[in-house]
Amino acid sequence: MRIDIVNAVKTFKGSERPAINGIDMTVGDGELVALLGPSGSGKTTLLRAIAGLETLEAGEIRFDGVNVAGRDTRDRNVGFVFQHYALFRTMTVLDNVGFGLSVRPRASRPSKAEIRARARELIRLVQLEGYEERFPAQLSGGQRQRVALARALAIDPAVLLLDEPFGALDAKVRKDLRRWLRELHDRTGHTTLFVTHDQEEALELADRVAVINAGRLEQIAPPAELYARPATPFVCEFLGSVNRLATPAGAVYVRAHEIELVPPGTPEARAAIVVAVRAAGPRVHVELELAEGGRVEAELLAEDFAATGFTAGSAVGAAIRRTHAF
Amino acid sequence: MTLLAPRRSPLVGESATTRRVLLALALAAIGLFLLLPLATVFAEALSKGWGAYFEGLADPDARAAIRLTLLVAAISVAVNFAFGIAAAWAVTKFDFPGKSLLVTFIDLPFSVSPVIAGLIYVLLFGAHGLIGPWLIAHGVEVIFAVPGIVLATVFVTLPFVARELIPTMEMLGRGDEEVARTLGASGWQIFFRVTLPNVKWAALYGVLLCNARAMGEFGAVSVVSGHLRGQTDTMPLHIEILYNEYNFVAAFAVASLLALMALFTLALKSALEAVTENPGR
Repeated sequence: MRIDIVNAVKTFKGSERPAINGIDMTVGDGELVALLGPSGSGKTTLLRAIAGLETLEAGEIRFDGVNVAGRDTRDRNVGFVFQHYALFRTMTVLDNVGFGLSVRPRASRPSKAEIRARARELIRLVQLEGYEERFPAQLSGGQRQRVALARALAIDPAVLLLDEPFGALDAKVRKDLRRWLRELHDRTGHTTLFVTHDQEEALELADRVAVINAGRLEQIAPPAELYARPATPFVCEFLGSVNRLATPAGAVYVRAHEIELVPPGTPEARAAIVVAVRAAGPRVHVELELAEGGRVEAELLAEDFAATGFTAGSAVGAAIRRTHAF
Repeated sequence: MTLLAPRRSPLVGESATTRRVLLALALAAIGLFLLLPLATVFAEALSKGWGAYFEGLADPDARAAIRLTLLVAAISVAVNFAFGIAAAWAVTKFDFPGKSLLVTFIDLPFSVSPVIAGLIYVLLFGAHGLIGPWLIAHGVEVIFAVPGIVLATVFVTLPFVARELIPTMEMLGRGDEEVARTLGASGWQIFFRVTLPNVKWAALYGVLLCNARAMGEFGAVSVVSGHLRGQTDTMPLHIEILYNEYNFVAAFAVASLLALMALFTLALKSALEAVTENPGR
């Protein structure tokens, strides 16, 4: 199903600034789109508005071209996964997953046996066989997240909405689940929107990433394009570590890994002094004081830095390979 | 599961003597103020033997008082439960003007003396009250009748279920209900299958406290009852009457029954706590 968000605006009571302020975007059928932005940027509000959990004050949300403003959450057929899972604590995993089918109107409700069979099938899909009779309290965070996902998939949703789906998990589990979610999406083909504040997650997982800041859409593009051609200073600064350089023509942005360290006096390179060197795993962050004034940070592989022979205090040349100007 | 924590945590300055003195004080206080009076009730009730004891309970007026107490408690619990759920739901799931005022009003019966609660109803529904004359003209008697006793008891017990539920429901948030909505559940389905199971222990706890208070309420009921024997006497009122008539055995027989009902409620409450502390519930 295709989702069109048309000039969506929402202001919360008691707040002066709109939480979302005129967002326009389209999510194609079967697409996996990330809503990326800092906390408080309005991305969760947008997700909740699509589900009907928030009402827009202006603009429209269209499912396959039809405005859904008057459609209650329960009639929107969206699979929503909350950051903290919101599993029903008094129900077993099996009953949690089967819940959506068991509350259908009598006419369209499958039999008890069919509901259980479908729930088991989904539990298998999220790789939790053997946990059917457990209660949510007896599961790990990653397992709970998968139950929440299976529960959302059980109603055969037209769209899957995930709010910070991996936000509460530790780094290792996050990575595993991320890959697993991508595979699941490729297999089931649900139109999926997920909210995250983790740029790595968004860039790695999504077909397209929508960068949201202060209630506005900054840019929506495939990850590679977003990184290579950021449309606004915000997008540029939000993705990766970036240096801002003042030039006579205005500010330009330089990514840390696009600054190369060369011997001092190299043509085109700017004279600089190494102020500090910080190792971060396989990479090194080198802080440079430019002769023309201002500090920048360069990032390079540890072995490459070792090969240059520079240390803190060395006079170097900073060759800037690429700049982004707006 | 085994408890790894030591039974006695080493508190600063805690010596064997301090421990013994504190323990002795606590036990003495419990014995003196709680167990001894309770034992006296039973001893007094049985002082003339089991025959006199059951005679006291079999008295038609005593049985009427027992029936009335059970009726009033049952109605109060039902009203309280309905009100508590509605109030807690409104307070925790919606935002509306006057919300904090509602929360404050829920506590009102706790801060107002029960006698005043009784008097309020006399002023409202009494023969010279605000709406009493109109009601009496239409054949509805509230004061010095069962409805008044029920009203006074409901007033006094109103906060119990709501006060148990509000913190529980606040802690749980709205996520479960929202997710149920996205899964297609109707309002009633959400309430009966998600919300109510989530808060059932808190609600039951509130109900037990409410029940205990409803059975034992004296002040408010005393004002509106009119003390018509066999008609508007609840157990506490009946006990007082018997006692004032120097009918000690009968008074303490009814008192012992009331105490037993309270002990039973207490036992249920403890059992409930044991169940809810078990993580695999």
